[in-house]
Amino acid sequence: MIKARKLTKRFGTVEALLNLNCNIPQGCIYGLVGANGAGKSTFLRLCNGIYKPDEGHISINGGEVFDNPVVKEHCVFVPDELYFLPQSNLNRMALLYESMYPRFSNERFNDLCAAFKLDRTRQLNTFSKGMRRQAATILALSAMTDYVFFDETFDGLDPVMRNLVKGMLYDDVLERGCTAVITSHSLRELEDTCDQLALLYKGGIVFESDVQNLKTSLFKVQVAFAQDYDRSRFSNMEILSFSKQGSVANMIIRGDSMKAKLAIAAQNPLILEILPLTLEEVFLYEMEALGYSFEAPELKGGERA
Amino acid sequence: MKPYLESIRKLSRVGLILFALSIVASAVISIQYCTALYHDNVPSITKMFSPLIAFIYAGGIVLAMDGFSFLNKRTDSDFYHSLPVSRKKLFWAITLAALTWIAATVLSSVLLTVIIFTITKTPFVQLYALLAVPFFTVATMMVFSACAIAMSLTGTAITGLGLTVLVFGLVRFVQFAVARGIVANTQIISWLDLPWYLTPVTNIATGQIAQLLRPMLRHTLYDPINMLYSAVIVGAELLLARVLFAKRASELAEHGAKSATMQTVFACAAVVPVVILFASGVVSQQNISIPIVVGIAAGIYVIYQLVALRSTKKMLISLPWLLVPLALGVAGYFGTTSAAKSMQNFVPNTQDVAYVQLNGAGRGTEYIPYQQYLVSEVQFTETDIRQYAVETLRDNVATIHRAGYLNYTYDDQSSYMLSTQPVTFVLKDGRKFSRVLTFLNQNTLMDYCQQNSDFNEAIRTLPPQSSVRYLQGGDLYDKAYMENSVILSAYYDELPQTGYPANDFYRIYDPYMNYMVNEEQNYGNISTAGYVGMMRYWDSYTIRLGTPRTSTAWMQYQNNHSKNEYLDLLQEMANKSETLTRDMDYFNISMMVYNVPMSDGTRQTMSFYFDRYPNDAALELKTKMQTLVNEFTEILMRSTPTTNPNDFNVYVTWSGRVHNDDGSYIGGDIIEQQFVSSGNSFVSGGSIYFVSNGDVLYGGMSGAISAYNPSFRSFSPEDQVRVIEILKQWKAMQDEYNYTMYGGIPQEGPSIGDATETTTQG
Repeated sequence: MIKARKLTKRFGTVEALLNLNCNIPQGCIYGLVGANGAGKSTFLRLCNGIYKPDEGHISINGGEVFDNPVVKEHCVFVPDELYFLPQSNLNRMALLYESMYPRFSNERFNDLCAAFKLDRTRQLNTFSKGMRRQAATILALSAMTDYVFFDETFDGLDPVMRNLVKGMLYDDVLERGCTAVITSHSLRELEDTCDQLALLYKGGIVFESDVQNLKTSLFKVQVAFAQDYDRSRFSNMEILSFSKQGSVANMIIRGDSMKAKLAIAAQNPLILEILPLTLEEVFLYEMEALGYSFEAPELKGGERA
Repeated sequence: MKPYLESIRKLSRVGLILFALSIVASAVISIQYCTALYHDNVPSITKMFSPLIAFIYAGGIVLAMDGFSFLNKRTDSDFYHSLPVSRKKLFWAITLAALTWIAATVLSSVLLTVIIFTITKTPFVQLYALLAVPFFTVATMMVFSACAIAMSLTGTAITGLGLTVLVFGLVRFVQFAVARGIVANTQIISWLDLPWYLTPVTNIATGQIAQLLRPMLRHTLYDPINMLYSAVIVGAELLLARVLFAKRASELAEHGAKSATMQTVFACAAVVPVVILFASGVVSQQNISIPIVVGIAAGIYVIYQLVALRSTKKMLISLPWLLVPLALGVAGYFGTTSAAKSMQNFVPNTQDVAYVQLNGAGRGTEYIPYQQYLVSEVQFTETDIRQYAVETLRDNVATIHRAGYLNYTYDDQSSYMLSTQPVTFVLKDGRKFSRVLTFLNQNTLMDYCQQNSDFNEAIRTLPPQSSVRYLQGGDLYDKAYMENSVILSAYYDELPQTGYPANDFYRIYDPYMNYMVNEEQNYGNISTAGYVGMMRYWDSYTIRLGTPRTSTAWMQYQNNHSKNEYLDLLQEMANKSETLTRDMDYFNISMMVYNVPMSDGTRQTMSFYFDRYPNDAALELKTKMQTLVNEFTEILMRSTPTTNPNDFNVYVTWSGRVHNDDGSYIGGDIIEQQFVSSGNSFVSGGSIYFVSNGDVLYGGMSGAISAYNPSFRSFSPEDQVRVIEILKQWKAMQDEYNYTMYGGIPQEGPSIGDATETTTQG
């Protein structure tokens, strides 16, 4: 388990993370979403012992991470900007990983190279951006660590490769009980991959939830009645958002959608439609409910009703 | 182990390049040296392994910058710090990998050099090979460790390189400047006599630079003690670098320094060398004013800060810190001056001096006589010499105070008696200090020295004959030079019986030139070079009549190589020189005459000279001398080579460019067939110094004939009588000529006697 307590990291006068607390359980795919500059990469660097916290603690399986090889040999990190040895190829990089990670599997490395159809003898600096990311993913997954950290993993991968990587991650989580922590500035990238999602905002996690619950906990209702009405007509429901134009009202409701549908239907509406929300919409409404106001365009998207 | 192997692999790119360059350079330079036409000494360690001197700096910096290059880029730094290896382990893995590459390169280069020297049978000090490997490895690691510290403190390649220079050289530069100031201010302390903390070569990496500036430091640079001291520094610097590396924030990558404060510290450090140069007296105060120094210092500071901080406002805020290095400069000036005065003025009492040591006037030169090494070990406890040394020191100091420098009056009577000697005083309380003293009378000094039996033994000791590697420029490994070894063997046999010092340097100086008389007559010199352990020496021995077998061997050697003196050509040119027709024509003859009978019954060596030019001054006198020269050359034709040093004999060299009336070149047809010609020059012989097996190596460009390879020649009794008469007249005319032309007054002493006063002693 990854445990962060009051984790703080500053760069000069900039507070990249401030009193961050979180628990990431073992055997899950944990998504960390946030706008640019929210602190996602800083958090991952702290998770991997690259940065030393200015305040607070971060531990993995109970051990402090910074400069602790015993803990770090269970972690592998694929950063947003990749590093390869100069003039190296995949085989050379595998040698480097093999010498550093005690559980590095050459068998897995061979399998992954075959699956991704990458030339292992070709210099990595001749690879495209997507191919380089595939190469980094192959190396990370071959390290057979308990924790895998991906920073903007799917950036640059085509849909086919994206699905391939996702499949491999699932396999690792299911078969080896591995924990994957993935960051992205786009919820759409994560919603069909992660078990848990957290929103990082101005250096702190403001919202954290199980994805499945999150997706079903909110729904949108479009309703119209012949007579005039207002929000109080639905006082027995937890309405997060209510807007009315003419006789048609749009509501965001938390709870059981079937129960809500039956309760409204009993009032003989002219129109009644239950619509699912995207994960981004769920996040935004939940955040608004918590009192946060976002300007991040990626989170607002164009689909908000 | 795995991180170490990985680091070896990581460094292999630059490691292999450096390895290849070093190997190629070592091979090329060794082959060049070993195949050179002429050697006269065993090479120094600097000369033998010169490519490794470059490797110290190139290897140290390149390997460190490559090994720790990931610290300068965020992505690279993140990657390495994310790996499951502790920073401590990562640092040592890179360091040990660099050490492996350095040691492998040094070892291979040294081995290759040794192999080339061995194959080509070029003499070298074998122990150098053992010393060179750890020496150059440690020196390179000094640069590496300085760079490792710099890389751990900064986050860009440029600042890393700049800080490397500061870490590596700043302290040593300050030390060197202070030492320079003390040497200049005291005037009686040499670079070799500074206290250990001011000696530039204790640090063997910066010492290499110091010895380029002060070559006399070369001898002490390779002292194993310096190597050990440097190894300790390497260890300390690596430990410091390790701590800094472990504490280094990863986010420093791509930033010059952790903070503006650190930038200011670096800026102040960059200014220090300028103010110290002035403060220590290296930059003369007459040539440069204080405002200019402050201006240069401020300029460096401002430019550095503007580049580093990228803000004029921040630079201005930090400007007061410039006062720190300026204050350091002022403190340095007063510190250096007062330290120099204190050292200069220290004169012990004779009774406090346990003993003195004479380190040898030539100790700073490339080649040192063997006897000087031995003498430098002698402890002179005798009262006379202790007192003489203390009085001389007191007098030297007083003279400097009075005149500002050592301005002893040089007059005809005493100037040649002045002797400058480095002297070490060892006090009874164990303290030790050295000064370069100017003794007023070297013979007095030598008299006092001779009270010491160790000294007397040292100056008469020859190096083991088996240690001699070069003889008279010849190589013992080359059989063509074996006859030289006959001369040397004879000298080794005879010298102990004579009581002469082995080297003339330790002889009592005779102002009356008595060394040209009787047994002191000098037939030539033979030089030897070799080594004992790691001590290289170069000796020159005078071959005197007092060692007759050596003289005979020498004469035999000279005569053997004098295959044809072309005496007929000499006579023809001498006769024709009365009427030289061309402006460039000339003729000269010079000779040494041995065993000339003198009026006081002694036998002496005398020199005679005659020359002719188309527009001679003192024509009448020259014309008279010409008659004598013509007759002498005619008699010379009848002379025969001799190897008996007691014979009345002559050794004639001559040179000329003389044309016949028909415009033909006298001797041209003969000389054209000689071994060597160069351009329009004809050469009849070569200096014996360059002759090994009779081949001629002398060549001139004037078109003249030069005969510098005569044999020693003696005469029949009748001719001998006539020659002596000729010499009497020649000497008189020569003295007259010298007086007329140059105002030279003939030396007082016995005149040439009659032939009856000498006999040929065969």
